[in-house]
Amino acid sequence: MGRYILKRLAIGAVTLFLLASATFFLMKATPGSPISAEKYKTQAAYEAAEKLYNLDKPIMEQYFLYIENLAHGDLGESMVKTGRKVTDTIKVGFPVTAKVGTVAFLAALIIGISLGTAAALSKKKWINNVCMFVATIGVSLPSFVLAIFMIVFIGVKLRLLPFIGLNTPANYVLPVISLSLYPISMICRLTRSSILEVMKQDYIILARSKGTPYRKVILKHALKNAMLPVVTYAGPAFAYLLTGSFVIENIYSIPGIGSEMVSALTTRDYPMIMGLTIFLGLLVISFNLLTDIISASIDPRIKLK
Amino acid sequence: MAMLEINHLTTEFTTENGIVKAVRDVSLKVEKGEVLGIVGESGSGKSQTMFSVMGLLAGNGKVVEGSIKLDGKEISPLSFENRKDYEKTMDDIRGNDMAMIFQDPMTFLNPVLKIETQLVEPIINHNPDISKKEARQRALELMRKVGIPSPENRIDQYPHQFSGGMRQRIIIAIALACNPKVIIADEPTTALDVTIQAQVLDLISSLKDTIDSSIIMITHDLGVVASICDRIAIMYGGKIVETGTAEEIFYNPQHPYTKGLLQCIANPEEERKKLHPIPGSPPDLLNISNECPFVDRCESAMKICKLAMNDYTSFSDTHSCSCWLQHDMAKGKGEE
Repeated sequence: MGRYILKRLAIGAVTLFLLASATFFLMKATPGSPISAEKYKTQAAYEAAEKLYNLDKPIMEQYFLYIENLAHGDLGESMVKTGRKVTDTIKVGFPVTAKVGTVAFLAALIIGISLGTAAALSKKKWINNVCMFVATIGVSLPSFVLAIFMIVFIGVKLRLLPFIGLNTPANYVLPVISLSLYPISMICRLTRSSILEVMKQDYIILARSKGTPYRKVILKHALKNAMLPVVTYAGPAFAYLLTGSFVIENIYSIPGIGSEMVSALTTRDYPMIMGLTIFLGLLVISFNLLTDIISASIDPRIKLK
Repeated sequence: MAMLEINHLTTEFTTENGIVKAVRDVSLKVEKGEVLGIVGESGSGKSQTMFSVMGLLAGNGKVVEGSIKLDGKEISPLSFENRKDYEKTMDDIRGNDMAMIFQDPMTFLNPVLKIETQLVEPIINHNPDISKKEARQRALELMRKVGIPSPENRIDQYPHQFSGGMRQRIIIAIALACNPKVIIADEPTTALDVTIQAQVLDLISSLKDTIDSSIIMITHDLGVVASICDRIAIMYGGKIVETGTAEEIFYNPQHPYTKGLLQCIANPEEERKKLHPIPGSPPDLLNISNECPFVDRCESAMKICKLAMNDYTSFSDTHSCSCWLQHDMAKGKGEE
């Protein structure tokens, strides 16, 4: 187990390096520069700025310089917001995104699994139909459409809930709904089909033949088996929720790393783009590893090698 | 009084194509400590009869007629006011008074739960006050009883770490957990290798002497039946066509189907002789009428066999058979 984790971490480091390199060159290949003519009005000021940020050097030299700093754990400073360190931006922005993301993820897990279980096991057909209807809408409706729709009706017309920033708990409601509807629907569908499959298995009959009540058979024998596909989906899904939705954070004016990323991209803020990309990559890689470890702890037949 | 008494049991399955009558008017009796073999080919309704008794029918299956008495107590689902009462009563009975050994050891154990969890489950279900430690001790005892070496190490393992034969022993141990009055073994050797089959059969026949449970052995293998059963019921097309003691069935078979079955057993001691398979295939149980289910394959079929089945003719207290050849007017027919 320990060796497996070490191996995965090593592979993760290589992946991160490749991700950083690819992002670096792609970024340089795009036209535009963080040194805007509006900010640096004279030619001399412009050239001085280029020199300051090493942008006058050949690309390969810039690349090696960046990798060298990265190896020391230095993600650099923003080229647009003078004096702003990339690590500080992450320190400020990530907790905000993580709070919304975690609430959305927990909501998705609890609501998704409950709805999926109800849809699979309820004797009443309409419950299944309603769950599947909601799940289909949730999978096909883009989150920004829902977000704007809710701002217009619930926020502006009915004035039921605030929709700017994250100052009060009530502020969380709309962004969390917008973020979690898709994972709720996915988890609901996965749980439902997986439970239906598991309930047909022979070991359910054996469990019932021991005199275990139906409800307990579901909790003890069916759910654990049925959760495997859900875990496989939920791990990476949590990583994406934690990296913040670029669109949702912008729509609800949430100062998380998602909106930082969007502004970094529009201003060509090279160190910021690089730093945030590497951080998000790190999150995704760690959650994939976590998913595999959880899967192996659920199903003893999965061997971590 | 019989330990398990089934009278006129009829079970139907609702399918897309119509109603399948899997069990039709079956009556059976098992005395205390007796081993009853139910023999029949695939789809003859032998397993579904016992699933009806255990209340473990698939969702589309339903007992529509008949009574089931366990130790004098009526437990047919028809005798309960609603499903909830029935399930509650059966949860107390299943694993406690009545237990089942299943066919395929590879699929009947839960792959994600430890052997201990699965083995103590019936013990805890029916002894809610027992301590965890005590339940584990009893589970270890059961594992020793069914011949699993070093149970202390193996109890914490998962099913995939066991071989097929060892898993079947675990399934048998689960059935024995609460010393049930009736054990139903549903083709317990069918899915095993031949050498392992013999071991498991040996285990069951040695257990039969140490416990006082009645055993119902469902099988399509007459050899299995011959070695351990006191009495035999032959099932065909959802009906019991002949019942009798092992001796009566083997040395004095009356129904043409029973005779056909016996001709299919290979005997290594006899000289090479051709086996006689029964031509044709079993009847479609979808919307089957009152005719004898064997009529299309029977060499001595008569016109009346197409119209109805004969009542049971008794040859002794234990031996009876349902066939028109036994009717006074048909005497002498069908003899070779």
